[in-house]
Amino acid sequence: MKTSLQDRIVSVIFGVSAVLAVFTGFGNMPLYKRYYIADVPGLGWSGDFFTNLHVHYIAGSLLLAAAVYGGVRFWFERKEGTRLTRSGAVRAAVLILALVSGVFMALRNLPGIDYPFYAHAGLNFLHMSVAVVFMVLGIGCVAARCRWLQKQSQ
Amino acid sequence: MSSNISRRSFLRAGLITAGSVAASTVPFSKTARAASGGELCTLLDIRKCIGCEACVEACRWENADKFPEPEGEMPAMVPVDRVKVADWSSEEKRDVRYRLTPYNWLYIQYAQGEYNGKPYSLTIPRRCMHCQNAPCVNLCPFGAADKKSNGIVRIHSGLCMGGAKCKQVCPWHIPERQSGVGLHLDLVPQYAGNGVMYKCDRCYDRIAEGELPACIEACPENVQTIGPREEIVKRAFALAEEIDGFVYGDTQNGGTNTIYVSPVPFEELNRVIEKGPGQPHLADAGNAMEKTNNMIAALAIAPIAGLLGALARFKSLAQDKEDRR
Ligand code: SF4
Ligand code: SF4
Ligand code: SF4
Repeated sequence: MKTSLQDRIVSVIFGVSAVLAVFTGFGNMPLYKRYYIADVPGLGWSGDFFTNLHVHYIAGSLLLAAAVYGGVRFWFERKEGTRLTRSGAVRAAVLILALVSGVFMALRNLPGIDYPFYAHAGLNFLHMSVAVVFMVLGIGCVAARCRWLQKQSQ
Repeated sequence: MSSNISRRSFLRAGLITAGSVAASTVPFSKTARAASGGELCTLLDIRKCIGCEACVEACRWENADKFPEPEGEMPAMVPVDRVKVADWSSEEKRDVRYRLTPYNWLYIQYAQGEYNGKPYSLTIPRRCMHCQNAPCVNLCPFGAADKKSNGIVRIHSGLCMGGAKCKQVCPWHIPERQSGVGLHLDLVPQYAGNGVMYKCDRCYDRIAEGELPACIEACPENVQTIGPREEIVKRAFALAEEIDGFVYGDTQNGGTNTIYVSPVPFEELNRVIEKGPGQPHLADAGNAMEKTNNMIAALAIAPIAGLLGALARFKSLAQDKEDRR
């Protein structure tokens, strides 16, 4: 896939929003005040649950936009022989699960939308677990410099 | 006359009437529950409350088997300066009735003063409001706080980690923590979680069996009535008009399923009641989820922005190709 300035900007947005989404995701648990993270200068906001959630929404939205951008790009580039690497395919699947479950959680926050207990608790658990898997894979892939895509020789 | 809209509503929804059964213990049948469908709401006509605490006692008695029973020492929490152990399990503390605790899900608040040149003295039963869009449910990271389709907001003690986020995000700070119990003890007891949060669960188990919540059934003055929300709200406003009174709970925090009607304005009551830990206010509660839900727009725009960005990129790629030819 030929990269341009636009692609590079999107990949920076993707990286930054992924880090922010994971950070605020952990911050949705009552951990940051307890473990002094919110005492770090500049991170005070992370100890406020609503602010933390709002930043999570923004990070999630940017991540979703970047993922759709990447997905659509990939869809068209497939014709020219671009394929997901194995690690790329796994990361994409996990990211899709995290994003979709996150969107369902945001919908649940709207008035008039309630899920049955098992769906509600299950969704929380799913979102949290895939986000942790995504984080671990992300760190591993950055360290090992894995690529998302490869060009198949035709 | 004002006695139990609940019974009448449930009757209308298909209640099996049993003339021999005392009115206050009339159950509503399974079919009635299915038929009534929507959210149940309570109306509290605080003019009638005499502060006898029969409701408080009934709640404690009825829910005793749901109360926490910590065994042994409280875990030494880490870090000790940040995680306060909340232990209400001693005989003496279990007895506390002047505020909400893990063992006291309902208490009576006192309001005395002067309004319109006349002295007043009111007693107000306080407990969870059962919000329609409850932040405690939406923001619980473990899904332990749950809202049932009948409007009941309940914290599942088997799943709650006791982090008290629900208490922080609740406009009235209702849930109360008991340390030394719950799921977190089986995980990393010292490092994550801190007990279980407790609050009124609107006697969900009694409701499921077609019975009234214990506090409603025990009240000698029929202060509370329970029924479909729409009907209760209508009735609350009719009552307020009749007595030239005031309504609280209909729009608070985006709407709750607990509606108070008072002859004295709630701003005035809020001024005179004792407020503090376990003693909720009666002020305007705003709408905790409003800002969050306005942000859903960002999530809605995101995929469109991504798609448009990608299409713009294709256009420039196609243009490049064209130029190269
Ligand atoms: S039982 Fe009824 S009258 Fe007595 S304190 Fe409770 S609500 Fe008031
Ligand atoms: S009053 Fe507080 S604890 Fe009760 S449902 Fe509303 S937010 Fe939750
Ligand atoms: S509804 Fe049940 S749990 Fe809630 S205050 Fe009344 S008796 Fe207690």
